[in-house]
Amino acid sequence: MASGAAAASSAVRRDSRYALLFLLPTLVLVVGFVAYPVVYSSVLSFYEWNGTATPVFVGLDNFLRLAGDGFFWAALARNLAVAASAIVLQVLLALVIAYCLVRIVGRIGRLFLFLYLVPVIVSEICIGLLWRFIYNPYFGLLNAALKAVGLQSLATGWLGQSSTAFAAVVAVMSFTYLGLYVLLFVAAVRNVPDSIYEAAALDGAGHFRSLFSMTIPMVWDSVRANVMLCIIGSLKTFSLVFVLTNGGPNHASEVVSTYLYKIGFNAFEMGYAATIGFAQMFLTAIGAWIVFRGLRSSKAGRGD
Amino acid sequence: MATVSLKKLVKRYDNLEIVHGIDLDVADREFIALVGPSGCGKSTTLRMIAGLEDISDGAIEIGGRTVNDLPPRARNISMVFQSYALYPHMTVRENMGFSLKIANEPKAEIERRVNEAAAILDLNHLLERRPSQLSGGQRQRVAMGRAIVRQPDVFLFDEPLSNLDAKLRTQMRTEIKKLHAKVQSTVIYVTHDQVEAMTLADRIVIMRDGHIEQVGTPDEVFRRPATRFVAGFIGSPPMNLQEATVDDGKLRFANGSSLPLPRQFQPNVAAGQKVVFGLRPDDLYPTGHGINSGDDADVHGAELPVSITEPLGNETLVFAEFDGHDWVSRMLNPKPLKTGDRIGMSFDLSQAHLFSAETGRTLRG
Repeated sequence: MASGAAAASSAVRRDSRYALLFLLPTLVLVVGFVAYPVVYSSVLSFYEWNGTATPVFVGLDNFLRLAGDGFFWAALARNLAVAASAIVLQVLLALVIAYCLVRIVGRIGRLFLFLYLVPVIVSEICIGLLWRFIYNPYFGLLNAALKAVGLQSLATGWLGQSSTAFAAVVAVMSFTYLGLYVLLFVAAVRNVPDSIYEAAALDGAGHFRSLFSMTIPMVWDSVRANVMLCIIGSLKTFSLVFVLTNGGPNHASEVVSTYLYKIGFNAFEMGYAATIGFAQMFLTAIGAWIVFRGLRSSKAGRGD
Repeated sequence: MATVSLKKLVKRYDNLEIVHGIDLDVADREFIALVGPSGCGKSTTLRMIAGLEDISDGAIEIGGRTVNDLPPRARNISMVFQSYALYPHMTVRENMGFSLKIANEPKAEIERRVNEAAAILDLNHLLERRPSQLSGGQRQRVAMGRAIVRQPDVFLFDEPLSNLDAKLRTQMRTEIKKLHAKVQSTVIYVTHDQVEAMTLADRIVIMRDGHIEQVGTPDEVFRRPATRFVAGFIGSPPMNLQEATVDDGKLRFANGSSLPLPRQFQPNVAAGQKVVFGLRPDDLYPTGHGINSGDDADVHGAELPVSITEPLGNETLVFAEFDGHDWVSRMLNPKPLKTGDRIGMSFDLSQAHLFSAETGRTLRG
């Protein structure tokens, strides 16, 4: 027995040596481009540094400043609002659309799927620029459309008004990322066998019932994964906000990433920027973990 | 009352017609089996009755009411699928009660009816399990339970046993028969297995290429097949079928061998007519090892070489060469035979079949 166990453990040791060898290239990249920057920024968050001079150790000063920084907390609240809107306007809406494409629309669903995907393919910078034209207060499509249907009283400078800028950005985010979730859900919804829907139809279920009683429970793992993706994406969102409003006007659409960017590259307070980045990473991880735990894992039996 | 009538029922996909205007009347409480080879249109027909496929032409009536445009849920039918289609995220109890829950039945009523169905199918101890925790046979029973809970007018079965192994299939066949005796609903049962059809059904509908070949009781389709196709499809091992020409009171086969023209067909054929002669393995037997069902005068004897034997224990299938083809015969009280042995074979011509070579239809008067 004992010798058998020893032989087995030496085999395990040999196996893990090979495993290490094969993992080495990835490990080097992960250490160089992920672990090192994370560690470096966490170290940097204890320093004051303008990017050129020698960093000065300031202890917990940056963290204390962060705790009292109203702009940061307001930006974080906006990130959370983005996440909440994304769960509804991206994930849930995408699930409903995916159900419709697979179960109702049928063959031309593929065309729609492609159309939903176009914004995912196009660079976010281009999309941002495009929507700046659409939102333009003087010659933008949106105001022109409102005027055409007699609603010119609603026309406004969408990105230039504090009251509308954030909502306008959120709308563009939903437009941009919706297709990605539609794509992911279409694949999952297709995996639900037709006969399940047929059985449900015979049992008296309409489309609404089928969606909630069959599709959602059966693609629950995808729902969890996509909600997770969408929360992480929302908490670190940057490029669309940067292109559309750069956080303005007067911080009305500021999110953590744009705030961090300004602190780092406009004010050159690298240490404090690192602190913000570190806090953002930490809070994102915690938020994602809480939500993931909150959504119970799929009830459907495994291995079948 | 749940009669089902198909009237000139047609199914087309784009321009391809796969069910060609079939007519069928199913009586209340009748057990009807639709049987035929793959692609004969039997499943499509069933799915049209269920409302899962649109009807291209014709009409379906259930209980005297035309249901062409009614959605599945409004037809008061239930269906057992080949894949069972159990809801994997629900327990057996939830699976069985789902239709009642949708219909907003009170909780106590759902509970009562699920328990009742579970008792009929011996599922009580499995009610809290999920489908993934059940064996194939148990899943099959849950699928049937889900169907009977609704107390539908008509049960539809779509090859329900084809995912089970041979032993379980025989067992479930008996259970389905018992279930029908208990719940007394109209049943339409699709299968490609003629044994299932024969053992279960009151009447069998044999389909081929989107047409109905014959509708009849198991006895009728076995003893009086209306077409050459039915003759070859029903019965195991299949009927011996060979083309022949009527010639002076004889049937002359391609390689020159001949048999007497069976008496019962003499008035219906003319000299020179091309026919297909059919004889079941039960009616062709090594002399002394079979049962003559008719008059001794109708038994024709011939000495034939054995080409191969398949012993089955209580009987042996003997393939003997006649007119250059192997003819399968059933040998009761078998004795050992070797390839090449010459044995006396009895052709019980009172049980023979003749079909028109041209139309394939029986030449029985």
